[in-house]
Amino acid sequence: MTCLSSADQASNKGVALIIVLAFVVLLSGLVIAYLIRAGTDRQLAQSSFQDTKSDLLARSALDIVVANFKQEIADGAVVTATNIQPQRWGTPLADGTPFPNLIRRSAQGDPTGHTSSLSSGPASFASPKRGEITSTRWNSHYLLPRASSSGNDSTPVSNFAAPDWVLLTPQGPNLTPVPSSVIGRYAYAVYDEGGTLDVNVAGFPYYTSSSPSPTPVPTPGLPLSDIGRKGSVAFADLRAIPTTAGSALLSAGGINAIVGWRNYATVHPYSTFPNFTFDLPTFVGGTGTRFVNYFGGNPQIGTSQDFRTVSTTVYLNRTDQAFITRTELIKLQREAGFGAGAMQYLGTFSRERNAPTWKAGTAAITQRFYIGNLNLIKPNPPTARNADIQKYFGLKWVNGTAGTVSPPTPAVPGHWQYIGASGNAMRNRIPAFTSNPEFFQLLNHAMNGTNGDDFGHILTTLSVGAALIDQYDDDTAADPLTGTTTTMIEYSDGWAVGLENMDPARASLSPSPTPSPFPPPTGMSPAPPPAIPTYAMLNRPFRNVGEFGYAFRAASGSTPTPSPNPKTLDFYTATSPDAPILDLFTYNSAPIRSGIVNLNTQDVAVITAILTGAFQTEQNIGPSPSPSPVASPAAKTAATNIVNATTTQPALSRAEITRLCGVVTNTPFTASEETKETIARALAEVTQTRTWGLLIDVITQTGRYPPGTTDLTQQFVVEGEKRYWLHIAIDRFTGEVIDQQLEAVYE
Amino acid sequence: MLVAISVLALLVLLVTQLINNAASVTILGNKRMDADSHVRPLFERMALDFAQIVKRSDVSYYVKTAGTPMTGNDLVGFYSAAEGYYPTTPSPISIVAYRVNSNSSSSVAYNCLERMGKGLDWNGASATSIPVVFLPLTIHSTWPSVASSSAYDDTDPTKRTYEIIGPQVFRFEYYYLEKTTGSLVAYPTAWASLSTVAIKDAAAIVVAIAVIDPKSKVLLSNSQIATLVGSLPDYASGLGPGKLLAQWQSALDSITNMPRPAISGIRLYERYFYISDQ
Repeated sequence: MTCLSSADQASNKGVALIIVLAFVVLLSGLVIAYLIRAGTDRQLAQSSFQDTKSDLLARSALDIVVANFKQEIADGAVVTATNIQPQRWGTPLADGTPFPNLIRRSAQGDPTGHTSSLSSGPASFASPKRGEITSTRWNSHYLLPRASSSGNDSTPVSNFAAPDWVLLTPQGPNLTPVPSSVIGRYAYAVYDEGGTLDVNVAGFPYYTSSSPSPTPVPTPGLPLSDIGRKGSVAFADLRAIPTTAGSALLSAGGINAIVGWRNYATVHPYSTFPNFTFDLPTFVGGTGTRFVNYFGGNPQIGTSQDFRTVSTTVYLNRTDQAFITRTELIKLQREAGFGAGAMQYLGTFSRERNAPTWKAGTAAITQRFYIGNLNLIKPNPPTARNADIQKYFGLKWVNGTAGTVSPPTPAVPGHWQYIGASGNAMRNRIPAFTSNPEFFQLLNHAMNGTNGDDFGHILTTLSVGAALIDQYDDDTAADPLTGTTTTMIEYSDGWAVGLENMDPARASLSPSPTPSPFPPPTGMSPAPPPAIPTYAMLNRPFRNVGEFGYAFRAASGSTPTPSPNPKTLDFYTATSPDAPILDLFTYNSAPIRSGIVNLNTQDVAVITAILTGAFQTEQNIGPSPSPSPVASPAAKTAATNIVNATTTQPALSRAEITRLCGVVTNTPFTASEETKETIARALAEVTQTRTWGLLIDVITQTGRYPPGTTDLTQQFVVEGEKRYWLHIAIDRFTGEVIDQQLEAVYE
Repeated sequence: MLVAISVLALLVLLVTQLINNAASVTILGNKRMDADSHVRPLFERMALDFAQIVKRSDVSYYVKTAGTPMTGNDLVGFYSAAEGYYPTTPSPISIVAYRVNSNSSSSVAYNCLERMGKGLDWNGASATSIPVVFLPLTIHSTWPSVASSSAYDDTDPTKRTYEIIGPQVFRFEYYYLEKTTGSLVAYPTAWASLSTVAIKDAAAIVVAIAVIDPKSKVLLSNSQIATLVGSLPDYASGLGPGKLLAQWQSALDSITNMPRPAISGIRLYERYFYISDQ
């Protein structure tokens, strides 16, 4: 056996030590690598977790904000002018720049009682800290007035105060929580998107002459008569939309970029996005025709389009488009290069339940009456149409009987009998109803405020209805026996007649004297009432309910002879008994639709765009109408008065448009009843008071206060953030959410 | 001396065992971390895509319905506001599609999860680029690759907008959380075909995937992976939360004709992507 020397032993120990140390280093390396990887992995997992957490928090915050609106509706079950609009808070003081769209923001002391005094805005605008939300970010949707007049900077005017934080604990919002219990926070602002113009519908194309003499002036790419008769927000003139606080307006080029992109398959634009061009407005079958056919219906008697979906027309393997999100609109604005200031007046989401809000008696009307049904009413209709005519009008056609010489018996013209929606016997009253009224029941309900059996007004109601039918139909709609074009309605106690200025069955001295009695041999009974030269006849389908104002309004007695200045339905005085008609009839049969503007909007430019281009009178239409359609400056003055009036006293229904007509005192709206009612014709079909169209902008942050923090004003450690724009339409009268669209915002 | 050598041998044996076991644990852990770290960004990507899915009744979706039941790996295609590749005049909308490539001649993408992120141009921006199309034009008739597990959107490889987003994902299945009933379903009752899809019927899309890490994958041939795909059953309506993965795990446990280390390296994941507006 060999004994190791002490030197050898020391050497062995050294080797063992080195080996052990090597192992230790190796193992340490492995452990460190493992820990680093695990740590990275944990960070990633944490990030993912915080992202999900902030998303859930954002959705919860939205639930809370929406619940506040629903509660507000529930608390105000009786709708009045003071609660028809959502309560506003956190808005600027009256002497500052107004924010027409801002309904509320989370602000200390607001009625929710949840909002802290901690502002979401940075202490220093120049150097915001992590987690602080600059006002530029808060206005990235451009719904607030901008400070800058150029570029795309979204920084709002200086009197905008960033929303305050609502602090969240596991138990929910807490005004003064213990810092260690805070798990996140949210802040929000709510805007009246329903008070803006929905660019998925609003705006029409422009034609720009290629000849530069003296300068190419864009002109509407549609016949002026289509624009002037309104009936759809598509005929709003977007050139009235300002792009700066000064006088710069949205350019025709910018509008063409929107319309050409949006309605590409419908209007067949030339050139490419965003520099589209269009046909001359006089080109039959071109851009204008296709546009009007889509938005006004083809034929233009009404439309069932709700405009919530795009047209199914296909052109060059492309379709029309819709702004799917507001972000898309913002990006299009950048591409098209039009002024960012216009974005304050443009929205991408609007909904309205097409039901009236005016109410009387026990009526429960869930749908406005579709004006297009009037197209059914033609003399001597085909049998197949009878059921619908009775259902919608309570009428039955009766053929006329010829007159005889001996004994002398006048001819009885072919006419309608009023039998109501059911049964076959003539009525001596307007029958009671609670739901689904026919035309005359609804007319009577509107003018007389009753839905019960009404014996007292049947003559007036049937006469007004007959006059409406005569305005609606043309001169070819005549009784085959006598040739009369005047609508005559028999009821069990007498006759009600309408009014036609051009009735070939009327005995007349001018222009061609006709024998009396007329028609031979013994005349007719009843006979058409005398013509009135000043009575404006449309002889075409109504394009909006405001045009009902052209119809002669019988006062009392049978077949009253109109005076030289006939009294027509009154849509221009605040106390008009005819006003509810504006709320009960519609050009659009869709039960829920897009593109309808809040009548109580505080955006003057929105009302201005709708009024601009409206025809003041019917009798001077054509390529160069005189008087000209309403010009933008006059429309703006009128719109300012209207907005001031609705701000002071919001409208409860479209019936109050007559009140708003009364506050417009500038030319050209004051010349006559017809020009005064321009407001009603332009606004009645495209506005509503029923739905709150809101854009809720919410930013949530998950995180915590550092351990030991006792002061909530200290820096909150942000671990995750989420922002959503919730577009939501809530029925003010029922609290029902009609539709909503959640838009995730990535910045 | 003998004793010392014996002790040393014993120690070496013990250390070897220790290292082996440690290595096994580490490798297993690494495999799991590999799979986890592989899946996390994939699910994050999906979350972004689904969060921005275009929810409208007038656009089409290529999704699982009664008329398109999709046996084995599923296909999904939809419009999303997520950014996509190669538009000329980029609009904010893209087409997003997911599939597991089934083309065995594709050496790279075969049995891998692919994502199509095709950026779309603005409407009317060019004569050749097709923008978002609304109904009656459908997503799969306009871009047929969305409905294919092997075809690409362009013959020029440099213009293709497909990318391999899950090289370790070989099984892709999804089903829905139905909004009206709150039930998990293979597809909502009303979805008889692609033309009756109303995306708002779904509160969430539940995506289940099977992942095999690279070290395990090399132990299997492509045909074995294809067999594995068929072994993991499709989701059937009525299966409750977590049941699909349980079925998959059970199916994996019963496999005896493939290398066990490879099978044990397969990880299963599932995530709910909420697409509801509220």
